[in-house]
Amino acid sequence: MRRIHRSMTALLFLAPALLVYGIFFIYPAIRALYISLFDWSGFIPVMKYIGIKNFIELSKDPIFWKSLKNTLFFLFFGGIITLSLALLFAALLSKKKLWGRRFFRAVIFFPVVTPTVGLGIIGTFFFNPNGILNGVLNSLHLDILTNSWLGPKLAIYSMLAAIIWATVGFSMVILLAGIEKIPETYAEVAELEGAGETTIFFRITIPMIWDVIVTVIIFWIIGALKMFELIYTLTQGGPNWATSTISIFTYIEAFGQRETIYRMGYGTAAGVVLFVLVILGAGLTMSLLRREAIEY
Amino acid sequence: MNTKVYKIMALVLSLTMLVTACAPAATTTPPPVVNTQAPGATAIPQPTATVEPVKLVYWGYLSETEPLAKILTANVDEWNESNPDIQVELIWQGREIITKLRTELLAGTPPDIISQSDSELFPSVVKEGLGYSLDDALNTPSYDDANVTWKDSFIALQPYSDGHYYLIPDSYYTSGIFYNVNIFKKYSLMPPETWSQFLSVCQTLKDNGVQPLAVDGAYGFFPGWYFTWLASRIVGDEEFRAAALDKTGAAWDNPGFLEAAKQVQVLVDSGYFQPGYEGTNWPGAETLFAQGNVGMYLTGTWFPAEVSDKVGPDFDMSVVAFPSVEGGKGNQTTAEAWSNDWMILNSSKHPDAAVAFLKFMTSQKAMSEFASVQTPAPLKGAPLQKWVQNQQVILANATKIMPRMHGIQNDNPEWTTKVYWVVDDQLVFGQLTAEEFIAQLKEAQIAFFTGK
Repeated sequence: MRRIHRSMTALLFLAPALLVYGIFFIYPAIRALYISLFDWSGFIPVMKYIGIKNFIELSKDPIFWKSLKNTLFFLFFGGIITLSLALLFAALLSKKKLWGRRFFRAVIFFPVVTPTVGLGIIGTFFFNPNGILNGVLNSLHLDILTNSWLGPKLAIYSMLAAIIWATVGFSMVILLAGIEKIPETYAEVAELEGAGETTIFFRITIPMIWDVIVTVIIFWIIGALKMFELIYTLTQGGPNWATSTISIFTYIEAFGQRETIYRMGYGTAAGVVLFVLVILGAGLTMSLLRREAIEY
Repeated sequence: MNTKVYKIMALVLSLTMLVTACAPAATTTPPPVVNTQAPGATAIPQPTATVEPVKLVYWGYLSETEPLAKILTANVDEWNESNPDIQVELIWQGREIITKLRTELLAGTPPDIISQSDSELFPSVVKEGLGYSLDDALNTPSYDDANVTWKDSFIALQPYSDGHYYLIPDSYYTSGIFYNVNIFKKYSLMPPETWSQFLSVCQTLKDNGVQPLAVDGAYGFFPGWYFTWLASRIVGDEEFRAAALDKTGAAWDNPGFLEAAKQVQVLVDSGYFQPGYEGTNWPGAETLFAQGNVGMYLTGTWFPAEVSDKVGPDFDMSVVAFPSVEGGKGNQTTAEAWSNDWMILNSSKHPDAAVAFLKFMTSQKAMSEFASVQTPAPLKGAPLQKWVQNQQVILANATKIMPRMHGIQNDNPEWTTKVYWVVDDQLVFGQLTAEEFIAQLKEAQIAFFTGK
């Protein structure tokens, strides 16, 4: 009886939040699935039911597959590099004796607090053929290394670099918080027993912050799959769809503007695919990487 | 406090939020409709009783601080002052106006008048039948001269593919080759009229260390323009437009299209485009031109308005039509028409009042200051800023006017974005030969239409 009462109380307190969540997340997701079954421009209420034809067309659309490939490229390679760098920075910045700890933490975290559109604009100045990067290379007499960084061959790698720069600070801060929670006695004992820094990091630190690492990975997967503003500001998914992702593809198909396509139903179908990818990605990560948390 | 009190508080809070969420939106009763006659406008039936002024909501595509927006705002203020019975509420929505309009259309609260480029209005609201037909209104007297129809007061108007008129231009542009006058004077060059002259000028510039051309490779629109123009000159406007809609792709077998692709390849292989053009995004190329680093730039006559505050005091430029191609079977004088336009939505309760207002906005006086902000007014005889004076010559010499991009962007924007520009970029980036370009274009086009 007491358990039922407790559950009812909990439900009562959760009700407002659940209501908001239902209205702003659950309902739009279901509605999006519904709209993806229609041919609809989005300008008039009339929608033409076409079943799964949008999904069939997506399966034959080379631009969609290119966008999916780019999305997975950013997800995997961006994830590996971002997580590795974030761990490295967190490990270094956790050393209290490091000079300028706070300065470096602020510099690395700075892109996280900067509006993403601003980061994209900075990126255009940086990667432009007459921009900062080529300018620095020229001034160092390294003209041979100058390139068309946002051209069709290199744009995806430049975008990857921009994404890593923009997001590594967020992962670093979370990992740093996890590392700083670990009591120092563990490391001290390990040192007394003759363990080196690397051994302590891999055999003690990482296992003890494993749940934090999993959380960072899940955040990364969700963020990388949905990433839009930075890519749209820097390259609009170009040149020639070279940096397009599912989010960019969805936006261009549904909302047009420069590319005046205006296919809301088709774009929503791509959005449903993205939604499924996010659920799968987050779910698989949690089930494969979860382990028993170490309490201390 | 005991558990019971907490439970009651939680219940009250939840119910309050539920009631608030479910409360109906406030509604207002629309004011009674009143019509009035604006000077020079078509006579509007007078109501039997005058109550409230007519209110028109006008959404503009500009940002409030843009120079043209300031002129248009002043015009609206002048209208409101002298027409108390028809009041216009102007809201500048910016370039995302179509996206915002969608929400209002679905909510049933759209504005009366919107403005945006024809390339966005035609495939969206006009295509969905949301535009008010202006056929009859265009045959009524213009604002300035009762002997001239409203239609005839414009340089040209673009009908939709159904043959009806829905858009009234607030500006009128064409495209051409802009050239740096000082550079041309320095090397005693004449603006090219033919394609062979164009290539000769490019080579002369290159030999003298001047970058001949600039292009924003990152946006398919700009690189694609060269093939579009060459195909139009060599094969024909309508042939090019028809080829873009050919589901079999067989139309691209016309040898003229291969020749057009070969000419684009000449530009690429000769190194006439600026270094790094593949990754240059707008406004990179126009900035290079405005800085005096490039000899020529293919773009539209809106270009001077975008760079007027970036150029040096001695900078000078002019524009000529895209060169004719010797032996080309297409019309060698075709000009493109680009415009930003007003449109009255057919949901407007006061279309006649909106027509009266738009007649005022397209009067000589209302558009007299457009040239000062480098905007070519769409009226016949309207003054043009120095750098686009030649627009009049281009249009006067044109025996045919085509919509932007020779119609392909209006006809099938999805094909343009996902087939044409994708393959054309590879040609312009030097990744395909002309023969490979034609083959890939055919293949991609067949796959595109098959996938539909």
